[in-house]
Amino acid sequence: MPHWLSSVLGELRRDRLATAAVTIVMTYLLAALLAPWIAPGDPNSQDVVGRLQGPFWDQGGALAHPLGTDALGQDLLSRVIYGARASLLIGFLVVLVAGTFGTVLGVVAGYRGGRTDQIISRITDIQTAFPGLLLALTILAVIGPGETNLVIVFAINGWMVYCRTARSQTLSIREQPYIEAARAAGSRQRTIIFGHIIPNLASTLVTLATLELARIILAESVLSFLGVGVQTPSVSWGLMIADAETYMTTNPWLTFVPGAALAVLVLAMNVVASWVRTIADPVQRSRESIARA
Amino acid sequence: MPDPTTNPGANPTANAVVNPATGRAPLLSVEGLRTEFPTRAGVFKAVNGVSFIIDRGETLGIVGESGSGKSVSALSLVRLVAPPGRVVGGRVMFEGQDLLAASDKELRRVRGGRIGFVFQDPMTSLNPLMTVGDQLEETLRLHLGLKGAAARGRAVELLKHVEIPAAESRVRAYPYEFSGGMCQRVMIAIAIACNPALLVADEPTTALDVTIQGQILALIKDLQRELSMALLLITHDLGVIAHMTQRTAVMYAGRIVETGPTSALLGRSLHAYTRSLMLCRPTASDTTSRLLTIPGQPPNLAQELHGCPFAPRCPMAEAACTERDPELLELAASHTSACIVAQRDGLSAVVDRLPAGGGSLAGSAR
Amino acid sequence: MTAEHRAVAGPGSRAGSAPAVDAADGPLLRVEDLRIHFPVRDRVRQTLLGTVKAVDGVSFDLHQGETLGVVGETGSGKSTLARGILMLRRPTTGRVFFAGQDLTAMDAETLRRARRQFQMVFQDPWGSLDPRMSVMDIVAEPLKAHGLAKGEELARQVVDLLQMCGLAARDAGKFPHEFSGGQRQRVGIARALALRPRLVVADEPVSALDVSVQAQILNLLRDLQRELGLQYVFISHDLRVVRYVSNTVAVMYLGKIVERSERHALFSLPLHPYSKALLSASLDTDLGEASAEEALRPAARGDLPSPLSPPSGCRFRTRCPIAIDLCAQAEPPLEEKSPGRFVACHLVPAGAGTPDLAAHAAHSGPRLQTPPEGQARGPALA
Repeated sequence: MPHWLSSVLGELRRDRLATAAVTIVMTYLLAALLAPWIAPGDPNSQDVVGRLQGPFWDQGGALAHPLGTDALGQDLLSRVIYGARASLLIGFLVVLVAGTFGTVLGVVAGYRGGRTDQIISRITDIQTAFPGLLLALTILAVIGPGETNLVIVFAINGWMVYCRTARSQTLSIREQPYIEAARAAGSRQRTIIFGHIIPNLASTLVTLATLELARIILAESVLSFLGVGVQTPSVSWGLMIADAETYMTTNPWLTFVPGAALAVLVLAMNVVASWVRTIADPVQRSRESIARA
Repeated sequence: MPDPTTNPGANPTANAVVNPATGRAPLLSVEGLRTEFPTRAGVFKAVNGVSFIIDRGETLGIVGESGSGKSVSALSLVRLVAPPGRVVGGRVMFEGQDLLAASDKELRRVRGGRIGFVFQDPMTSLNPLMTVGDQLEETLRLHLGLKGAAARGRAVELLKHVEIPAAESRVRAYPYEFSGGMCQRVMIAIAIACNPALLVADEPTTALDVTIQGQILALIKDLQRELSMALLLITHDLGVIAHMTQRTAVMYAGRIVETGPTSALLGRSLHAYTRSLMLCRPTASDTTSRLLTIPGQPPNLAQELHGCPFAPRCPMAEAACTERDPELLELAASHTSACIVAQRDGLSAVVDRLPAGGGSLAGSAR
Repeated sequence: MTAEHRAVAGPGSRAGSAPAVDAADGPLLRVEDLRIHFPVRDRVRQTLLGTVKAVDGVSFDLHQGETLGVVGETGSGKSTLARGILMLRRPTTGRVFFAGQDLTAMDAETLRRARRQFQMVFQDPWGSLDPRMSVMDIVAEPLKAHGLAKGEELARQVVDLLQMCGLAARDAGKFPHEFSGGQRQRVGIARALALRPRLVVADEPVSALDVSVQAQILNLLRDLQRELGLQYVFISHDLRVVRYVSNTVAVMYLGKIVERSERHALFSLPLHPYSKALLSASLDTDLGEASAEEALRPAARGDLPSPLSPPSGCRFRTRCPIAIDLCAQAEPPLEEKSPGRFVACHLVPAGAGTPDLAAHAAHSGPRLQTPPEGQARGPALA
C-alpha cells in the first residue's frame, strides 16, 4: 500500500533517532539474510597459525581479517555476521510462536469472559509464577540443547505476556462504542474479533513483540554462553562470548565484538519499539501532527 | 448612533486601566492577552488579543463554542496553561498586581487564594485517593496556614456553606461516595475556602444534570453575594449566560467579537456570530421550520488569518470583511462589536439581516 | 400494570397471546413491560451488592411516521432502554415486538438478520467509529455484514450514503480522526442508514456537539426522516432538542416512564411533578416574566437517589415538592389521565391536561410553585 508506506516514511523522516534505529535493525536483518554472500569467509574455517589476530587497526592486524580472529583462527567478522542469523532467527520464531499463541488465548479470554477467562487467566498466572531461567535450564537439560529446543523453551516461557496484554486490551476495546456499533449493524462475532478487536490490539502487540524480540536475543546469548543454547558448529553471539571468556584480559576485542553487536541491536530494537507505538496508532499520529484545539 | 472612532471606552491600550463606567480601577483588567501552542502544523493562536475588565462583585460571562479560546483565556490569567502552550503577550492586572509578570511563588498565592477556580468535571478535578476534608484542608493549610482541628472545623464550615447535608460526617468521605453535583459543591467549597475576590467557573454545570444545574448555579449566585466575589463564568450555554450574568463577552477563534450587557447582547446582537448562535438553538415556539445553521468550520488557528475570522461562515459577509482586521468598537452603551457591517450600518443591521426563522425569536410559551 | 398496558395497547390486544401485533397495521415497535436489571458486585470480593433496575417496566408503542422522544437525566435508564429496544442488551423480562415479530424470542442469527430493519446512532462521535477503519470501511460494514453489496457497487452505495448525509465522495478515503465531531456524527448516521432501516434509535446524537453543529445534525435527521420515511426513538437529556424532533415524548425517571404524551401537550402543560421540574430547570435565553434569579431556584430538591435502592412507592417522592404519605406507600401506575396523556402520579387527577385546562394553565405558567389542581383531591385516590 503506497499511501501507507509513504506516510510511515514521512513519519520516519521526522524522527532522526528512529531513522537511525530502523537503519541499524535493517542492516542486521540484511546481514543475517545475506550472510553467505557478504561474510568475508567461512565462519568455521580454522587457521591455527593465524589465531588471535587483532583487528586491522591494531598491532598484528590485517585487512584479511578486519575484526581479527579468535583462538581457533576463525574470522571474527564472518562469525559475527553468521551469529546474527542464529540470534534473529531464534528471536523471530519465538515471537511468532509465543505471540500467536498468547494473543489468541488473550483475545478469547477477554472477549468471552466468564469461565473461559478464569481458566485461561489462572493458567497464565501459574505459568508466570515459574522462574523462567530455571525452567529453561531444566527443560534444556532434559530435551538437550540446540536451536529448535531453544525456540520451544522460549516460547513456553514467553507467551504469557502476550496473553495478558491481549486480554486486558480486549477487555477495554470490547467496551468501546464502535464495537457496540458493529453489533448493532449486524456484524458477526468473527468480523468483530478480526475486523475490530485485533486491528486495535495490533499497535500494542507489535510494540510488545519488538521488545520481546530484543529480550529473547539477549536470553539466547545467555543460554548459549551457559552452554545449553546454540552448539558449535553453529555460531551465536552468546557462544562467541563464552569462547572468548578465557581471553578476556589478553584479547578483549574477542568479547567486545559480539558483545557490541548484541548491545547495539537490542538498543536499536527498543528505540524502534517506542517509535512503532506512536506511528501504529492513527490517533496518536494525529495527536502529534494535527494542531491541538 | 455613537461615533465609534472617538469612543474612549473602546481603546484597550489606554495606559491607566480605569473602568470608564465607574472611574475606578477594576478588580481585574486583561489587555491584549495572547496564548499560543506551538504544534507541528504551526503556531496555534488559541487566544489572540483578548481584553476585558471585571469590577469587584461583578459577573462577566464568556460564551463561545469549543476551540474558541474561552477556557484557555481563563487559565492564562494565572499562567495555568498546560505546556507547550504559553502566554506570549498581554497584561493581566489583578488587585494592582501584574499576574503575567509575577513570580511563580506570588502566582501560587493568587491561584486558589485570591482567585478560586471551578472546572467542568468535578469527578476528575478531585483526587480520588483523598477524603474531601483532606483536600479542603490542604487548601486551607497552603493559603491560610490553618492546621489540625482549626482546619477541620473550617472544612466542615465550608461544606455546610455549600449546602452539603451532614457535613460533619461527610467531611471524611471520599469523592466516589459523592454524586456529580455534590462533588461540584466540594469543588466550590475549595474554590471559596480563602474568600477569593474572583471566582473563575469554567463550564461549572456542563457535566451535571439539568435539575442539578439550577441548584449549583443558584449556589454560586448566593455565595457570590455573600462573599462579594466577582465571577468570571465561562460557558457554551446561552441559557446559563442569560440567567447568570450582567455582562457577556462572546469569543470566536481566539478573539472577543462582541461584549455588552447580557440582555442587550442576546436581544439585539451586534455581531452576526452571536446572532447565529442564538438562532441555532431549537426554540419553544417554533418546532416546524429548519434550524439556522452556521455553515463550514471555525478557522484553523495555526494559520494566519486575514480580516474577520467569522467572515467565511457569515451570511452577512462582504468584501470589506476580509480586507482588514476588524476592531472591537463601542456601538451602543457598553456594547461593543467587531462586526464591520454593524459598525457601518448601525445597531439593527445584524438583527434585520438575520431575522428569526418563522416568526419572533423570543418565544411566548414558557 | 394492567391499566397501563390496556392504555398502551388499546382494547382488544393482550400481552402474551402470540403475535400480539399484526405486522401490517399494528405499531412498528411495541415494547411490553421491558425490564433490564444489572447485578452490582463488590469489585474485590465479588459479593452481590444489589440490583440496579436500569429499566423497570417500560411499555410503549411506536407507530409508522412517529418519533418518540425519551427524555431523562443520568440514571433514568434511557440509554439502557435504547439498548434494550435494539437487543444490544438482553432484557431481564418483557418483550420487544418489531413489526409484529418478537425480538426477545429470536435466536442470535435470526436477530442478526433482523437488525437490517432497526439501527442505532450513537452519542459519542469519537468513540463510535473504529479509529483504524477508513470511512469507506465504516459505512460499508453493515452492507457487508448482510451481504448486500460488493466491490464497485458497495463503493458506489457508500458514496451515495455519504453524500446523502452531507459528506463528500472524497471523504470515503479518510479516517475518523481527520474529521470534526459533526462530520463524524454524519458518518455514524450514514452507517446507520446504510441498510435502509425503518427504525433508528438515536442515543443522545447531538449532546457531544457544539450548538451550531447540533443544528446541522438535527436538520439532517429531520430531512432524512422525511425522505426515507424513518421512525425515530430519540433519546436525549436536552428538552429543547427533544421538543424539536419528536411527536410524542416520554419522560423517564429512575427506570420508569413517569409521563408520556403528545409533544405540545407535554411542553405546554407538563402534568407529572418531575416533568415540571425538568421543564423549569431548562434554562432558556428568553427569561420571560420570571426574574433570572428566580428561574434558577431548584425545582427538584436534593440529589438523585441511589439507583441501587430507589425510594419505595413513587421513585420521585424524595425530591418531589408535593409528595404526600401515599406516595411512599404505593407506586403510582402510568395511567391515561386524559386522552393521550399518560401520567404516573397519585396527585394528578383524572381529566387533568384536557384542552381547556391546558389553556388555563399555560397562561398561568407551568412552574412548580403552583401546585397542580389535583393536590387536594389526591388522597382520595387511595
